[in-house]
Amino acid sequence: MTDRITRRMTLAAGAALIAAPAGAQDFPTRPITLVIPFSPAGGSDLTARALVKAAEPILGQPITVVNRPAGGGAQAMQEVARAAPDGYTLVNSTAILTAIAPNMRDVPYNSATDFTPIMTYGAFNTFIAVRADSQYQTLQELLDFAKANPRVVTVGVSVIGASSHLGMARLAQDRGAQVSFVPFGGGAPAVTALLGRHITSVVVSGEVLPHVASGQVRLLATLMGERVPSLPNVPSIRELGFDWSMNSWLGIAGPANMPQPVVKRLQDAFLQASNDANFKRVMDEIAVAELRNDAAGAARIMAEDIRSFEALIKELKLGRYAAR
Amino acid sequence: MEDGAAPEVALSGRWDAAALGLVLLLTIGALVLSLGYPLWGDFQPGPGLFPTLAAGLAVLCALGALGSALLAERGAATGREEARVWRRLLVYAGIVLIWAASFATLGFAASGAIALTLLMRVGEGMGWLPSLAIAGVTIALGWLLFEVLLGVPLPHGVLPT
Amino acid sequence: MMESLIGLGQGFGIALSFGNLLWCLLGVALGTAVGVLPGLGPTATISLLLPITFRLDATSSLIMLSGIYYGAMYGGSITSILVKIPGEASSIVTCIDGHEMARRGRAGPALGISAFGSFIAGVVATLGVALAGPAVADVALAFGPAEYTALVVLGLVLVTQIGEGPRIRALLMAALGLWGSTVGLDPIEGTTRFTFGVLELQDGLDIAVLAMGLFGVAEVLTLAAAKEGSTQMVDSPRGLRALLPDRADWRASSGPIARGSVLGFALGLLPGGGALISSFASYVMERRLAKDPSRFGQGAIEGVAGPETANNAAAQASFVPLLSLGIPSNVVMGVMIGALMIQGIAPGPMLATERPELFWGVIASMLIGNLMLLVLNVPLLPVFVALLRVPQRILAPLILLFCVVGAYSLQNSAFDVMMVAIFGVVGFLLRLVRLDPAPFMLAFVLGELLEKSIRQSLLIGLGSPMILVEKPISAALFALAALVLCWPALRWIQIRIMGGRRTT
Repeated sequence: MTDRITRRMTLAAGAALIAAPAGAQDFPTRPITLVIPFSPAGGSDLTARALVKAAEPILGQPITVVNRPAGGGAQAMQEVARAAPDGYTLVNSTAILTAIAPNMRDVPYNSATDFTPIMTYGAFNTFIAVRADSQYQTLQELLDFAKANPRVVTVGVSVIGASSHLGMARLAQDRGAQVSFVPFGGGAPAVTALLGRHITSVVVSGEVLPHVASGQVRLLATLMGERVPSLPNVPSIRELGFDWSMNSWLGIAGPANMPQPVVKRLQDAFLQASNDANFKRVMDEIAVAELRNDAAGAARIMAEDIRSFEALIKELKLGRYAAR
Repeated sequence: MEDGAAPEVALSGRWDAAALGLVLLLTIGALVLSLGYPLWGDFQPGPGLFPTLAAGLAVLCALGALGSALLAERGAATGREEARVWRRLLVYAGIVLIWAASFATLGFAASGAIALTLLMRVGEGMGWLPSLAIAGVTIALGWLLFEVLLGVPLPHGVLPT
Repeated sequence: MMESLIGLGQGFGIALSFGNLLWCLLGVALGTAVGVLPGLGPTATISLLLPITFRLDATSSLIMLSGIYYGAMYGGSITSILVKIPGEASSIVTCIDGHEMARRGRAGPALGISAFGSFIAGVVATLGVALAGPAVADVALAFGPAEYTALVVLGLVLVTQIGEGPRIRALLMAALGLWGSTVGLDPIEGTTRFTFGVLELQDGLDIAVLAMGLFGVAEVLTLAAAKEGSTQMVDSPRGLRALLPDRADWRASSGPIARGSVLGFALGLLPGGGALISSFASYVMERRLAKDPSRFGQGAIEGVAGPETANNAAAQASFVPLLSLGIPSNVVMGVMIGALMIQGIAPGPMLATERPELFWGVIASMLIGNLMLLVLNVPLLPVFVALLRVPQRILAPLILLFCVVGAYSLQNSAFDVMMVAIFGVVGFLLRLVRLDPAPFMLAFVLGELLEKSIRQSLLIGLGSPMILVEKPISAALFALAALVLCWPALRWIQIRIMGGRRTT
């Protein structure tokens, strides 16, 4: 009940813009709103909610979570970009909406200038997988075959422009191979099509792990920079001779021009919260790898990814750069 | 064939054909829009192919419907009755649209109260007092149900709290 | 099979524990209570009530969520029958004869047969899962893009058989529905189509928003514009006995319920549109099988019993691919996956063996939930039927309110509210021109699946459409679609040869 009353207060205060910038020393003095630009119960939503729960006692103020998935999340990003930079309106920022979406379609915000990164806490672990009875034992074999037989290898992904798709497209390009991407709108349907022998391979996230456990699927590689402790047998693409990696990171950000002390306070609180046992459990369960960065680190990743994804998507002639 | 569950309100002959003509124009518009996207990609259909086929089918169907409407016997028009119906409809439709448009800016309570009071007063011809009462009770019910019980963060707009 | 029966026994042990029975009952009651609000379908209901289940353990939360789901589905049937506002795409067909029955003073039997049919479907679906075991989910594996393409084509052929008014107008609406489904992001390339720079249109049109607008708001406008008195409901009998389906109703409904259960169970195992198709496949099938097909659309109880049963059997069957493959068959099931994730459970092939209490507990609670639905709702029939006597001037603002706020609650977005209002006005105008929104809605849902599966098939088949007919399942489904399409022509020829008069 208190939760609801405070939420109303937050919304009212936010809407009326009556709040004067709080002194940084005693920040926060009222509840904080975290906007999640995705639907409830997705990977981004679940991890952000667990993090928020752990951060509330540290900040000493409740944090209200609002899901605004409209417009593929772009509306939420715009809303936060336009909010007062006082630290009371934050967004669950992601590589998807920060670095990828602006290259795929027109969005009403500028990732590079409209936001203040506060921290990152994790990255979706993305795997390249084939059926366990498949002839391909390694990523190299799959790519070699794809090079010798252009377009014959089918790769199931969630959507075109997801980091899974972009990662595999870059792998194929680096080896001069041609694969056919088949988007399924989600990881689970792609895995089902893999199991049903309708496609050769998939590039998906945690959805595939139960099928790895049951022995039906083999993981060839992870797109992340290093091996994940829980899957010690799955090589990272860096180990396999590629000089890059792809982290579909998750973090917290606010509007541009937030006062430095407020950023510091939030960064410390959320970093501390990311050590919480329950938060770590949630991360493990949905196969989100830890990727902890402070504000400076988050800003660096963000700038890097905005640049690299733009270059990659341009090169692949996708989204806004598609031939008309 | 007996015309199953006939709608309570339906246009008579000439107007029916005119409305179908309008629908035909809309489907042609959809077709033109669809043709603006690439029909064929490198090895597979482009984004424009399916919308174009769907819109093309719609154009054909609209032509067929229009044709059969023109051939059909024309029903007797009931002019005066229709004028009254149209007035009520305009009131209702207008209020609903204004309610929706002001939902975010005025907030849930204010926009709803105004719209429902007007609806009862103008649309249904009730007195001011019963209109206000029904609007008030409905809004209170909606607030209790959605905001308090179901936890939907409704926009509060001009009202504090 | 023995294992399955032991599992099911264990499941009943869990589902029948006092706590879980309570959550099931609470879920069913809350689901019905929210789902019965006009405009709020199962999707809105379950996402609104989801937070309540966060505090429960995994099994209890899933049991409560499925209770909410059945409750909301039944609540949707109530609004479909009483006020002709379907909560979701699959209850659109219920509106056709269900509402017509209500207009003729037979709301009680319509609601009753829907509740009983759902219960019987629950029994059949539970037995089906128990007999076939969790491995029945493998049926879904046999369905790839080519097979789904054929299934959706069959579905679309069936859609053209549904709808009020002239056939050509139903076709027109179906074509518009297909076009409407392409608004938003291209399912393959991810580029925008027909968004006109409007950000929110990138998500495409929302089926729940369309239903609230085209059916909910449009119904209010229709009532407002209708001549006084013409919409006055026939006064229904008040006693509970008179409200229940009588012997003749049961005789007419037993066949449709039996067929609907089997059809729904089989199609519900296919997550890509199977559950939706089952409801109108059942409707079309019953009309074809009926001695006097002209009664359909005039309040034929078979037209309620069949689809409602199929719908429910499919909803239950769809838990199998959900739990063992993690594929959601609709938005509601997507929320269920999230609920599982919150509890730290990843759906997968090992779930039935690793967490048998969860898998079989949920399966067993389906049956219990449906029994509760029956026990809870049959005594309430007089109350529901009494809703018909609520004056229109009270009902109208309430429906509008639920549609407006319900639309907002879907995504916390004012844009959806505006869309509901616009589609409400559009829906009314369509009715004026005798353009039925039902084929539009069904084609809208199927259109998205159709375009995606065809293009996926072509990608897999390296651009060759032969993949669609080379696969046996898909070829068989295409043949069936052709048969359904040609049936009227065959009948017509038969009648002509026999010298009979054209009856259509």
